[in-house]
Amino acid sequence: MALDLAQFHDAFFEESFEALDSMESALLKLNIGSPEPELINTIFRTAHSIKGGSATFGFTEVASFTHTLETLLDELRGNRMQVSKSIMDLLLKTVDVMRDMLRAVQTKVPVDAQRIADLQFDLEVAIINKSAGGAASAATPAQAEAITASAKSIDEENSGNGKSWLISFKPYPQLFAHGNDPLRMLRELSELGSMDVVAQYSQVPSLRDLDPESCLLSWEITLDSEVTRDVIAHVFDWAEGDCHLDIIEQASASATTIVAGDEDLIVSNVVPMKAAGKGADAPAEGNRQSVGDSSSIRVSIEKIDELMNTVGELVITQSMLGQLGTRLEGSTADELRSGLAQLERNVRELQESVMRVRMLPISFVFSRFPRMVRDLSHRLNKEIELKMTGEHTELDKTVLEKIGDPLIHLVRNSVDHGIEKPEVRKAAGKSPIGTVHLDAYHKGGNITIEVKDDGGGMNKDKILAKARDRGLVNANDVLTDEQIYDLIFVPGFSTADVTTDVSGRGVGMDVVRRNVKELGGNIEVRTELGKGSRFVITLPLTLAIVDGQSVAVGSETYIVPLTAIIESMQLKQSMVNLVAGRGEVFRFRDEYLPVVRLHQMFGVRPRATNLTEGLLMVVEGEGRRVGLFVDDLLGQQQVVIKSLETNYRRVEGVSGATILGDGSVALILDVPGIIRVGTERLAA
Amino acid sequence: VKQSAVTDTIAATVVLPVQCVLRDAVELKSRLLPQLDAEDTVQIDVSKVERIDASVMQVLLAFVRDRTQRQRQVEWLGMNEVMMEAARLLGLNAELHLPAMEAA
Repeated sequence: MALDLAQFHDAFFEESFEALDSMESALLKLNIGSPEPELINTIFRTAHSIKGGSATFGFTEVASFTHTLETLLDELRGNRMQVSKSIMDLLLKTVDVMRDMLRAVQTKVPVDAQRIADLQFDLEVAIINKSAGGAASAATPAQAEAITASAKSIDEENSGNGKSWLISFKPYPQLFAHGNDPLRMLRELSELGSMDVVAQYSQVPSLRDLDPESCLLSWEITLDSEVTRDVIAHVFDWAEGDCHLDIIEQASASATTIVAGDEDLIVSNVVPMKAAGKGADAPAEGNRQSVGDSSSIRVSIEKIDELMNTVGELVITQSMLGQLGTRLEGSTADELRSGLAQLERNVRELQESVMRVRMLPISFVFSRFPRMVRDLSHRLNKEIELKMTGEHTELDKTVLEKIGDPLIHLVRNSVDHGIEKPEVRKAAGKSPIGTVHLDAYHKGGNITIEVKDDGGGMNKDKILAKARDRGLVNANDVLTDEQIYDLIFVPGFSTADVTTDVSGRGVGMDVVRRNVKELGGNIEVRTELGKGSRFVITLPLTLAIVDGQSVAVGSETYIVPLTAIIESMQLKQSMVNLVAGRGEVFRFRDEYLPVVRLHQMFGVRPRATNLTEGLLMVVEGEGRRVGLFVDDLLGQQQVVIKSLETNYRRVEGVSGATILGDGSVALILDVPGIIRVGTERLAA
Repeated sequence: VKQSAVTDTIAATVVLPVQCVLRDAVELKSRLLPQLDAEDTVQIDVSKVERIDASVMQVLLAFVRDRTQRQRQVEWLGMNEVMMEAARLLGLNAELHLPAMEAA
């Protein structure tokens, strides 16, 4: 009954990458000199869990490497070693290497063994230096030689042996009551070899709810010992029937090929005094949490999308029934209508619940920035503090995935071009430490993400000069400040004086804007020379549903997203003017706006062609406003967006389609697109 | 959770008996329960403990964890080898915030 462990590989990799992310963010939070013990514990637990998983699945190289890391972390945890900047750098590098190793194993490509060996060596040197009382992080040549020599000799001694057992000991609650003491068993087990114990205590409730006679603890034990399975099983003889016990032989330690024998070196030579307790104090709750809380389950996004789709269909069916209900008459019609109203409420709740399942906190994206900012600022010799607020703000997973790259670009820009070098900042009377602030919050039906920095800001004149230079603006054009700053989003524009390898290659801001637009969002920039810049991204919470106003044009129905609508009005002839080169315009709150006739744009025969006979809907997109001429307003409703691209092809001015209650299809207007196309036509 | 016997106002000192096994676990729970919400530091004196088992360690674990969640202090007094070994073997060292032997 061989168990095929390969089926768990995907989950293991996914969880390990997540664990590495959280390890990295915990590392970045460590205070050099006075680290928080709990943070070190978290990092230790993460490393421990990856080690355990790798060993279980036979990824010995990863397990061996992680073991070395774990030893170092244990030194830090036991205050036998200080968290210095060089140790931090070493640990961060370790995270990178572990990521690469796991990726290599996952994709079955060879790893860069030399890089791994080098880093593992550095880790060992750091541990040895600590034992020698040295604070430096690099070994002297003599030490290095000593390590290599003893590694070799131990490797030789150990060749061909070094069995390792993974024991999962899960007592049933009655274990105590039956007179068994796990402590006794673990003590016996520890006498068989070198033991590493991780307790699982997530099942232990609060003291108030705890029945002291129930055993709710369980343990995962790694035992390095030459004994046979029977000897181990014998330790648990008395607990037979009172526990669940798994004893798995792991891949032989000597089969580890990275730097053979090195891990033995560390265990037996460097830290002999703690060999008995090595790893015994490794708690495991964080472990479990990092690999998936017991109160949550992993569900593939496809399943949720499927569910979402079905709910979408349900909304349509419910809407059809609703319309049918209004047409019915008779004694039972009222009852039916009240039932339908109830159904509508339920469907809406269901839809909202499913939507919530897709929501994730933005910290998923934010979490990569501490490391990035740290590395970049080192490279650029800048001192930068990254502030993050609103990390718990939730938004749709799809939006979340797509906003990562634009945000990376903005943060890089802030670090590279925004924040000045410390000496420049000092000369300007600012703190030498620059601040980059990421903030996220809900506003209306949208989420707003801000990337702010207190750097040098942007020079208006420089932007304008450059834009003129590149022919993006005519020499005589008079632009407002906003329009000038907006130029940085024009393709091919870069404000950087010097092109660095970090950013400033002239690609970027236009791509950022395009990406944000594709998400139905918007990006604006506010900047003040010498004081800093602020990029404000506004995004819809979800891409799956839109609150829309349905409008009629001839026999067609279109949906206009509510967020784009400013006002709807009936025109009087006196308000309309014809302007050369701009077509029809109308007066709206002290300005003249162009009229876009939807029927012309989509080639539909309208009921009304005279502007005074239909309705004008004032809409806004990308900071521009137009009046959309339609026949009539029909009603507001939430519609489920179906991709037009997937089912047909991309159509300019249309962001998607939806199915209405009567089964007919309505196009959802992409207001910025409509404005673009509409005004281009007028200009042509 | 503090690691050595110093300062602060003490709400109570719970002294563990010489033998701390299953039958003592119930009693220990009832002695620790009233101290769960005490604002001041609660001391647990383990100096007399000569024998301890997993059931008592489980009660101590629940208590320390609850106190930590409430951001309240627990202080270990008279830390000894019996206690250290039990915590180490059971993998509960970190969660119990035990001090190192030399600090005891």
